[in-house]
Amino acid sequence: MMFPIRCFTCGALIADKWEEYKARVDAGESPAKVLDELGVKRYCCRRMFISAEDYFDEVVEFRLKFGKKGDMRT
Amino acid sequence: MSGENMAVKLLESDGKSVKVEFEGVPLAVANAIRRLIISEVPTMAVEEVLIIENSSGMTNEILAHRISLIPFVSDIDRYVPPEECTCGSKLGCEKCVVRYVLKAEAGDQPMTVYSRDMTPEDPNTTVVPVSGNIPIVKLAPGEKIELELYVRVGRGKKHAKWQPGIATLYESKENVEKRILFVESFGFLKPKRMVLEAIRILNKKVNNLMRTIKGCE
Repeated sequence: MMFPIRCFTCGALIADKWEEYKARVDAGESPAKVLDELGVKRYCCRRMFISAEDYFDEVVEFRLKFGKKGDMRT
Repeated sequence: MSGENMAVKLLESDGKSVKVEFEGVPLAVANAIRRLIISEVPTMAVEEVLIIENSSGMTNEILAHRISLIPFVSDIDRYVPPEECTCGSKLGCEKCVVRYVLKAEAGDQPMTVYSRDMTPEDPNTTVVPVSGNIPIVKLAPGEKIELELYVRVGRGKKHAKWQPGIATLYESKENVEKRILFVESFGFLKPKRMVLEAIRILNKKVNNLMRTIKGCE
């Protein structure tokens, strides 16, 4: 699914930092450095970022190719 | 309990967190404050979602759950929890509910719906999402969501979405007689306000207990 809104363990808000993290890591920066700069301190929140896989993009891509406009539930 | 030998000192403070040092405060009292911050300090979050339309790839319940976890800057002086409100209405009144609408439709390109796309019914409201950059759902072309959101006051003991922040209590490195309370806010309330609110709630609870015991005599 999409990146979680809150950290599973401590409950801190993390989703607002996701897009910046993803863009910077994809551009080649080290995840540790990006997380430090974003102020993600605890290891419970940090593992949310480094272990995340946003496969909702694939759902959107699938629906883009195969879905009908309007009601797309099958 | 006498307050003569008690000392409370603010060690560190920034917009997000505070560190408070307790000296001579009984462990039980300090721990009660810590627990009250986590479970009883009121905050505001979406409690009810009315789904008018959702043709996205995300199911209604997951979409509603994601929205419910978004923290809102909480005005707990103005708003009361629905169960304590005098209106008695299921839908709520201006004292216990803030209404938001979330309407989005993708055009030719896929789009992401963010927390900043939620529009309040009252444009002057101070109860706004803590951050506008929270991705809620992605829509493929032609997909649409239309939701009505009811933001209400609640407490962490009812659902973790209302937990205002983190509170930890530990012994001071230099002096084991001193204890340090670290409080971090998730953005609902200012961290200082969280501590003060917890103390106010503790005071109220102790007074209630005293009154009950006196009533039994």
